[in-house]
Amino acid sequence: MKSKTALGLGLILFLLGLPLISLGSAQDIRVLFYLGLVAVIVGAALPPFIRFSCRIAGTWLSEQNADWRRTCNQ
Amino acid sequence: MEANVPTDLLHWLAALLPIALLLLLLVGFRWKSTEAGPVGLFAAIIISLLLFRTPLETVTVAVGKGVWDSIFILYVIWPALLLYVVADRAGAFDSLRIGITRFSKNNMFLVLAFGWVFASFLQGIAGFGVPIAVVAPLLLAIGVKPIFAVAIPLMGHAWANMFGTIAVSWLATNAVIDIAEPVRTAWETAALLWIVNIVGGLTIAWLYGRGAAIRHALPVILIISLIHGGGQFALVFWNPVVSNFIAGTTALLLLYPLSRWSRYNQPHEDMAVQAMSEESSREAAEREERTHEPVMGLSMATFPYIVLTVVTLGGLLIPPIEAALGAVEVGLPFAGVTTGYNVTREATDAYSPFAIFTHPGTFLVISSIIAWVVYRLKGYYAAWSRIKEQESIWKGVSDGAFPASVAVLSFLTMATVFDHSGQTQTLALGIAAATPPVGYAFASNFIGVLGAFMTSSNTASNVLFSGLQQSVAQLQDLPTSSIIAGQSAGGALGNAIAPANVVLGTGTTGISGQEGAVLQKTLPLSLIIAVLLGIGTIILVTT
Repeated sequence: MKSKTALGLGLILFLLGLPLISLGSAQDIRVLFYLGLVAVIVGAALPPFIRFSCRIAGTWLSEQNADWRRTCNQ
Repeated sequence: MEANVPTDLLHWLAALLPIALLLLLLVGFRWKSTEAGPVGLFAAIIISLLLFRTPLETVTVAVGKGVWDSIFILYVIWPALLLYVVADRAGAFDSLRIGITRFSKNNMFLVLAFGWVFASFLQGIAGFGVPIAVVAPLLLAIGVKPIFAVAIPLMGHAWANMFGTIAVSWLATNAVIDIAEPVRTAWETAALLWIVNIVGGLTIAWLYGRGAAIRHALPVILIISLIHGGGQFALVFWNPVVSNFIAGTTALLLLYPLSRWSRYNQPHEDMAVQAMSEESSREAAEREERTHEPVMGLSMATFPYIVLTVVTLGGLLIPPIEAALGAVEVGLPFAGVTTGYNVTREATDAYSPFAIFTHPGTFLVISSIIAWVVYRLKGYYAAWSRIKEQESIWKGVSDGAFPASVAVLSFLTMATVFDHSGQTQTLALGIAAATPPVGYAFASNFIGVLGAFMTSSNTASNVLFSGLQQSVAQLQDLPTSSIIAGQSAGGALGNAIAPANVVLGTGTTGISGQEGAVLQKTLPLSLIIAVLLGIGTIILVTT
């Protein structure tokens, strides 16, 4: 996954979480509510996850994993 | 029941940790804001859950509100980038660079004109980060290095936050607290903002070329500051709402006669200029002029920004239009939540309603569309693409907007988690509890800075902290007008270091991820200004 794609996905997840949390809290629908929180958390976690994945890829997998190398260099 | 947040050292340090971590990662380790922001957010959530008796439900509502607050800023970032890319793909910035070198030969003057005077004018009419998003690429076009192109408008626009954007922060402060002496509070605030203004001008010169640049620019800085700071100070006695707009517009108009002054219409003396690119803009423009003619004149190159000014003024200053456009508001419902320390946020049917048609983002979108149509009809896109190969407008916008958006979302959700868990109150009350009256007067603006740092908004900072500042002032027998003035001036200054504002600039100048480098420039300078504000507030409370 390209880093720009990851950021775009992160942005979509953040925005997706908003109506879920709002609707879930206002209508007291717990599933929607916490699904919204999960969407935001996953969206937020993507950029640091990619950073650490790159660190790991750079350390142990750089020879084997060309995809990650491309992502990390972008 | 009153909120009863803990103010002991453990909780105070715990509340400070996410902010310290964010700054350490951004400035110390030079992490990208897209990576540091989420780590700060996670730290704030974990500390809320473990130490501030915040139920997961409260954290979730705070996160939702933070995403909603972010949309106000995203609706500036995306359209500002669109306006920039629409102009850039037509060759407007190339033409601007060539045209400006014919118009003025003094780079120091141009940097002050764009980074201070035009940025302040934009803050006066638009706000919401528009000055940074718009001015940073303009400075880049005249040859300013990207890091400086972001740092300069950050320092230049800060003073205009409190009474800018038709005094939205002043009006919000009046809405959340009962100001006993409004005139005194207004002029004391304006007096402190004058410090932010004049030191802002001096720091821009310092960033440009250290002491030699300050000596060269001092006359124009003093004149502009007299109009900006002095004009606003005088006008708040009459009408705080338009004080900043009139002062900012007068200074903008004064640029033309100042540019005819022999001191500033010729290149400045040799000095060690650090803010400009190795090959100066002038040399680059002259070289480009030899290889190709500019595709448009200076007036067409600045056309999108003229349209933006006209559209914004028309939308905000003509009452019937403003009333009609402002009637449409959108807000989302959220349930009421509380914490174990009784920090309660009531249920709302429309949280922080968003007047979409009077938002600066809409003015930017309209300006972008008009500029695109005009440039296309005149054939500039085709002409410029024959000189330089162009990527699509979507690619230009999304390359900058994706990282900026994720960073802003992280920062603002972190801010609302702070607010809903009571960590913000713990930080502010801790400062209040540990300082004697004079010390609190000194520290009052730092609380304002803290609020704006977290929320990138003078208004939000004042809404968060004005009540607290007023209570502490009354407890310590300090004049509330002076303490609110300190809060307000600090809230304005905090915009120079707010990561979400920095991201606006790095996004529009193509240096996403270098927010730490920008903060390394603005943070120490802002700290110096905050100390001066502290001294100014002490003078106000003791006289």
